[in-house]
Amino acid sequence: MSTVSFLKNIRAALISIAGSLAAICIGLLLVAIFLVAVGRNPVETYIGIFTSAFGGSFAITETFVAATPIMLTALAVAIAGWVGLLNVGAEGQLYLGAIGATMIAITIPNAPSWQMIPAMFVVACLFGAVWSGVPAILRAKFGVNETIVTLLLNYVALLLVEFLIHGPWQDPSSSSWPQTMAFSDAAQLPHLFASRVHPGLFIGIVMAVFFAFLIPMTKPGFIIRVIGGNPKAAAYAHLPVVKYIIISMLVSGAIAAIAGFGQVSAIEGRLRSGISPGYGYTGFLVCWLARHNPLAIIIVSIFVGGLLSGADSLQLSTKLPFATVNIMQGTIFLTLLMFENIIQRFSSATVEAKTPEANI
Amino acid sequence: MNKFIFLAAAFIAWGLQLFYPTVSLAVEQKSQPLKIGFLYVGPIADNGWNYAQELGRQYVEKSLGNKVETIFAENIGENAEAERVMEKMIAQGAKLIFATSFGYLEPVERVAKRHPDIIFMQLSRTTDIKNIGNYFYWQYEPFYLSGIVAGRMTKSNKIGFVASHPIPPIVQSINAFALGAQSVNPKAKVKVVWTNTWVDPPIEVEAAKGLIDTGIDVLAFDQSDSQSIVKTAEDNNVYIIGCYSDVHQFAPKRWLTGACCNWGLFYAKVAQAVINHNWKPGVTHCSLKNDYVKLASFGPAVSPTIKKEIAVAKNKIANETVSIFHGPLKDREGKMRLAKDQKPDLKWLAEMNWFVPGVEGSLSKGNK
Amino acid sequence: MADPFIVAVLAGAVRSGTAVLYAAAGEVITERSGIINLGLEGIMLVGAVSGIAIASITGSPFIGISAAFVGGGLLGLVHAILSIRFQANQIASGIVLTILGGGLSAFFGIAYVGKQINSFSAVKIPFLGDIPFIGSIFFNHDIMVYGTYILIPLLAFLLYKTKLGLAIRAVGEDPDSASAAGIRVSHVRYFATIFGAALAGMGGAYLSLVYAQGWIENMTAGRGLIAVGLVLFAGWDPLKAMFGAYLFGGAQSLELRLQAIGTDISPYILGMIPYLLIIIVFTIGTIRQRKVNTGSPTALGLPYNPNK
Repeated sequence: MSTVSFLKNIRAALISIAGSLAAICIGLLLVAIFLVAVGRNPVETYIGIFTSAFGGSFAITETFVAATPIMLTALAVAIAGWVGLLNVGAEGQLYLGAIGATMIAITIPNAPSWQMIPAMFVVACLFGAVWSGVPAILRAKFGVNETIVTLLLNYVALLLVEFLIHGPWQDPSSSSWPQTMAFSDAAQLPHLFASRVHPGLFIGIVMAVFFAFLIPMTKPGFIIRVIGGNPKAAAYAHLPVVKYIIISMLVSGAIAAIAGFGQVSAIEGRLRSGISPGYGYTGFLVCWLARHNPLAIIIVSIFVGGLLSGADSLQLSTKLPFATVNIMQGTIFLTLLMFENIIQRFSSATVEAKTPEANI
Repeated sequence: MNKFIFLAAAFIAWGLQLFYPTVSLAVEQKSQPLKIGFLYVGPIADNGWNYAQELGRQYVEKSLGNKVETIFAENIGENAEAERVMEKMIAQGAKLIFATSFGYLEPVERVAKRHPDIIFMQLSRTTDIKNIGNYFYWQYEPFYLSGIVAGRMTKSNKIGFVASHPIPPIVQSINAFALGAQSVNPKAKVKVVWTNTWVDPPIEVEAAKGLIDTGIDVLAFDQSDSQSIVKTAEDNNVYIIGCYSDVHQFAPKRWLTGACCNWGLFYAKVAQAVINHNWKPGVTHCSLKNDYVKLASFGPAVSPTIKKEIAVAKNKIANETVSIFHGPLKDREGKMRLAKDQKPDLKWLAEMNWFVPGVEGSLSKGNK
Repeated sequence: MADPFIVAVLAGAVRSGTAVLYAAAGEVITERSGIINLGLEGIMLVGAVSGIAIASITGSPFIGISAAFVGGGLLGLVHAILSIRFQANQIASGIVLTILGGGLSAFFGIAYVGKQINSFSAVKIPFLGDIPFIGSIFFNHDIMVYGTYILIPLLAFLLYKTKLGLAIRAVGEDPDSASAAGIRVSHVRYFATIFGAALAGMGGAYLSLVYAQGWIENMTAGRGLIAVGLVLFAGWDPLKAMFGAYLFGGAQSLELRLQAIGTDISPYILGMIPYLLIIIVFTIGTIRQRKVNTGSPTALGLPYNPNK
């Protein structure tokens, strides 16, 4: 990497950070107008949200807990994005991961932890990969639009979970409540720092760092960038396009599945509906706000996790209805998305990975 | 990045504070009021379950005045989110938390283990943890009384029930409702349709219409929200029995009565016990006896004779001279569920997953 | 033949399907122009609440429906600005709209919970309503159901037989050529996005004003996303969207009625079938692309940059 391109990257990164900050400030300003209109003090409100998200160790760990599934699904979207695919199916892949992990946890409930956790992990990844593998193969072999297939498979995944928890996997001891039986202790991922933070967070961070290294600096990374930039040219150059597309999608699905594995194993302790209030979709958004940059994904998902967790204070302290949470998040995302385009005009080069052209 | 933003925001906020001298983060309190947190599973504006809870919270504030301070959070899923919100309530100083939905038990247990000094009240589930109190609302009692009204009013002897989730509290209500109807009208049948959702007005309406198509002329339900289903009954000339909240205004002609909650009295009593330091774990039965559950107002179609009959039945139940579930009681498959002279206890009630004869519709939904 | 059970299920299918039909029909127009709008959930909610609010203030459900049309359209405008002017990723923008629309509708809807409104009641159409079987299924509904009988063929006509329809399809297929042919790509896409969202707003208002006759937050409960799925199922065709919407409504209506007569099947397995079917149909369609037109707009989801 030459000095010039390095400086260029730094410049691009700075512009992009400044732009995002400006966007968030404008979003906060818009929400502030709303808050004043409904008779609340915006300064007090924002301090409350900040304290609720980052004030004290409990608040910070809860922010990380909320950020974990978002980070993993955002990475999943990014990996598909690098080879030029739009994976809208992280939500479904997350649920399949949860199903896979649950299947192991309830079929061999007496297995010791050292067998249980790896088995759950592997099967979860496998299930997620199957869920992304179908659209991958359809896309690579037949040119079927992966956006549509991944989106459709989300519905199927959700219904599959509902079927399982209302049917064959329903806990006989939980009074007909739609959920599976509680996992044994061996099937629960350990928590860290006396909080609910679980290894999923570190898997997410390690993966992100790994890809931040892989994509710009290795040969496979180079091939991925070429395929993502221009698949036709890559095919003419006899690059293994089909192989890379399929592998990328399989990895993408597996990583989204880890998010689901973490939710059932470390957070809920069983499979039930609502284990993901749309993390896969939020992850998609985060991936785009981070411009498919793996390191930026870490930062943006922690920011979004903070928004999610800190917003509790809107209800508890500011005494505003729950709906305000969504108004605030929606507005900030909106301004961020709007600035996305403006920023890109200023910084021609993105930092590490090329953002794919939307190609449905 | 985010840290910069928030540092910047905090800095700006600090600056702005000069212009907002009233902003004060630490509020000095002279007498420490008891801070109570309420966890609601849905929106409080639902004219039903959560609204009834919210009325209870308002009653606590009104009746105990400056001895208490309440905070609440609506739309909190029965999942890990509940755990976080409860922790934040505790961080804000809540000493008593009401978890007002069936599915909160697991998160409540986890938080309660971490905070042995905080008192939790969990609805409809029992636990061994010392700082969790359990309360059961025997809504089946007013449902039994409503059943008597329904049994008297039906001409077709077909009564509909739009039911949410097939869990014991709901099954109890349906069984008691059917027993009440059959106590005055042995031919009465109750047809049940499960929606598998607490709130989804379009599905509730379609379920109600489906039941109406089968010829029912009285409709009951236990969905969290009321408006849509009650109006559907009114528009289709079917009598309606309400649930949780008294919403007779939606069916001025067809409203009969309803099985309602009266949470305020109960919450205030628990709060007072905590203030007096004489709160004890254990099970509270919210029943007609202590007025924690009650019958809604009667609609115009209910005759004075029926009202008198209901008053008599209510007294018998409240004074425990008669038990709604009494042996010998067989389920609809003919299996003996309650022997002669056997008393229904908590465990028996909490495991109810069968229907009495005369209830139609599946209970094994998806259970195959 | 005219078994009352079947008639009831099918009449229920039409009723339950109508809300998603409005949304799906609007989305067909939007997607045909090359813009995918995943935010239908938020748009329907905003439509539902504006409908209730205005209807309860003015006392007129017609004005309520118009307000929903405008409210949905406004949110559509936001999506259009984001995805056309700012060339944001359309899926991301749709997700933002879902969050924002859900929040706005719930916040401003609180004042209208439990408000009594005048609604449309079912009106049997003379003559047509008396046709055995068909009459009770299709011609014994409220005016908004009848509205779709006119709207859908009209949309099909608009799409396939008018200059505007040609322009919409052209900018969805190949915006560069369309632009070369003198079509103002952005204008057409703005129109299609706003109009489609406005129709989705009406679908939301159908739920709140007519079907449930009341507002409760998040009352669409996923129907917006289902409408997006239906568009794919329908191969971007308004008439097939109508069929798809009734199929969705029918599955729901059948499941609830089967229970009422004492039969029991898993609604979840039943619910998966259409989506799996779409994937299969879509795959076959793509493989045989030269022979069969899947209807998929080639430029769907692609931002159009004239300076490229």
